[in-house]
This record gives sequence, C-alpha cells and structure tokens, in this order.
Amino acid sequence: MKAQTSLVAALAVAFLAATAVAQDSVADKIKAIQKDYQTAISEYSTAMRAAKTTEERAAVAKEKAPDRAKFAARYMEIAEKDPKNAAVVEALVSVAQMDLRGENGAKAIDLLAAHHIESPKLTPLVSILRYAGTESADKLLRAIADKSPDRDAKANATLALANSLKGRDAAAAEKIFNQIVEQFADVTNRTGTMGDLAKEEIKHLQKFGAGKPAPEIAGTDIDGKDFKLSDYRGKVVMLDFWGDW
Amino acid sequence: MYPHERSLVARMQGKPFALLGVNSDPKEKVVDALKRENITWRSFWDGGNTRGPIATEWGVQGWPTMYLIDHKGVIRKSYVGSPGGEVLDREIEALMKELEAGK
Repeated sequence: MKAQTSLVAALAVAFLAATAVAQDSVADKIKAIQKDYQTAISEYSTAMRAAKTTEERAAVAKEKAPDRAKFAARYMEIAEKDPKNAAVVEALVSVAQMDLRGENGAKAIDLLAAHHIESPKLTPLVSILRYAGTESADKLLRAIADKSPDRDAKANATLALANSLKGRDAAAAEKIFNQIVEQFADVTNRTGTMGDLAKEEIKHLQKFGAGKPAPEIAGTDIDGKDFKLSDYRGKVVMLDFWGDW
Repeated sequence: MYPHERSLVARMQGKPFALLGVNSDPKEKVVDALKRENITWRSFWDGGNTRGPIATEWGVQGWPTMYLIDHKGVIRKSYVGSPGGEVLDREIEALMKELEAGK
C-alpha cells in the first residue's frame, strides 16, 4: 500500500514536471520573440536618433523599422499550436496590437475571445479595441462584457463596445450607453464616472450620430474666406478634423 | 493620412464629392503644411488650437476625427482616429452609389 502511494506520488510529480516543462517551453519561445522584438525596436530608435536630416530619417524608417507582420506571424505560429495555454495570452495581445485590423490580428482576437476572456492581461487591449472597428474586436468586447467575472473588466469592455459602435451604428451604441448608465454608473475611470460619461455620449449621439442631419458649420477657410458646410449639399462630404502633428 | 487624402481627392476629381477639413493648427503651421504636403482641399480654420469653436461644438475628443456626410447632408459614419484608407474608400464609394442612384 505504502509502495503504491509513493508510486502514485512519483507519477504525479513526473506528470506535473512534464506539464511545467511543456508550459515553460511555450513561454520561453514567446519570451525569445519578445526579446528579438525589443532588440529590433532599440536598434531602430538608436538609428533614428543618429539620423540628422529628414532624408536620413526617412531612409531609417524604410530600412530599419521592425517588421511587425513578421513578428506577428512568429507569435501566431506558437499561439495557434497551443491556443488554450495561458502563456500565449501576451503573445496574442501583442499580435492584436501590431495588426489591429489585419488578418493575423483578427485571428489573435478570435483566439482570445474563445479561450482567454477572463485574463487580466486583456486590459490594455480593451482600450484600443474600440478603434479597430472590426467584427472580431466587437465580438471579443461583447464576450468580455457578457462573461467576465470581474465587474470593472465587464464595465470597461461594455464602454469600449459602445464607443466602437457609435460611429457605425448609433442606435446600437445608444442602447449600450443606456445599459452602462443602468449597470455601471458608479464605475470610475480616468475621465470620471462611467454614468456621466455615458450620458454625455448619449447626448452627443442625439446630435451627431449616424442618421442625424449634420449641424451647420459657418466659418472661414485658411485664406480668411467665409464658407459653410451646407454649400456642399448635393455632394458626399468627408469632414476631417485634422492638425499637422 | 496625407497620401490617402491626396489620392482620394485626385480620384474623385469632377465627381460630386468634397473633402473638407477643420484645422486646429496655428495659422503659420497650417500654411506651411498646405504647401509642404500639397494640400489642395479646403479647410475651416478653427482658431489655432484643439479647443476651437467648431471642434468644441462637434464634441471632438481625438484627432483625426472623420465624419462621412451623404449628399442630403445626413451624417452616415464617423471615426475617431483614421480607420484606414481602405475602409474610408469603401464607405465613400457606398455613399457615391446612393447619390448616383438618386436615393
């Protein structure tokens, strides 16, 4: 009996060790890519600092800028072999950030939605997913909003989803902002409480949401000549709030 | 974004389309940018900073912010941060088709 117990214990230890090794090797492979990426970034910024003219900087940008698509592909190769492994979350988050609207980005975001919505490592990604405007991004935000056990994570994902939708589907966004007022009004972020934030957004959508008539702009151009937005009625207009920075 | 905007304006020349800016730079800076970047499209000048009257009225919180407005003057899409040339081209094309169909 005693011998049997120790055999079981020995097997258990061996099994745990094997699992640990397997996990380590995925984590190690990812660390190696992260290290290569850091090296590429620092070589790039060193070369940038050394460049003196606009032309030199343009040449450095062309020749030395880290090839993000290549790094994303390397991460994906490892992550796709073992997508459920917690060690791949960081790699998938990096891919999503590097290739937010691209094919590998979408694959990474889909894997995160399928296996890792509870990971606290998703926090930095949630705040940028609102700018993706892709189906994959919306799906991941929805999954976190629906299923995360962490109330703050849920609230932040819900807010990001509403922000992601607001330029494309004003009615859907308004519904979600109302949900934030009902469920997460007390949650605070950098700009204040989510309740106040969501109420502001609803007010804004009612005037500037898709489907609303564009409010008139009457101003002057760079040469000081008066003109109005409504002068362009009858044409499709892209109105671009811009600065040269 | 300048390269995409330049090619968009070139492609749409003669068609019922306009790229209009609302610029938040100080005057000398925007005048320099127009020349340097060969910017031919018209912009409202919003007083020299990001808290100008137009950006404030429109609740702009990030630059660039873009609005696509159809030929009837209705807001159809908006983006905080550029969604990329491909998305903009596709959405503008859809609005041009509506205009041509006389919807």
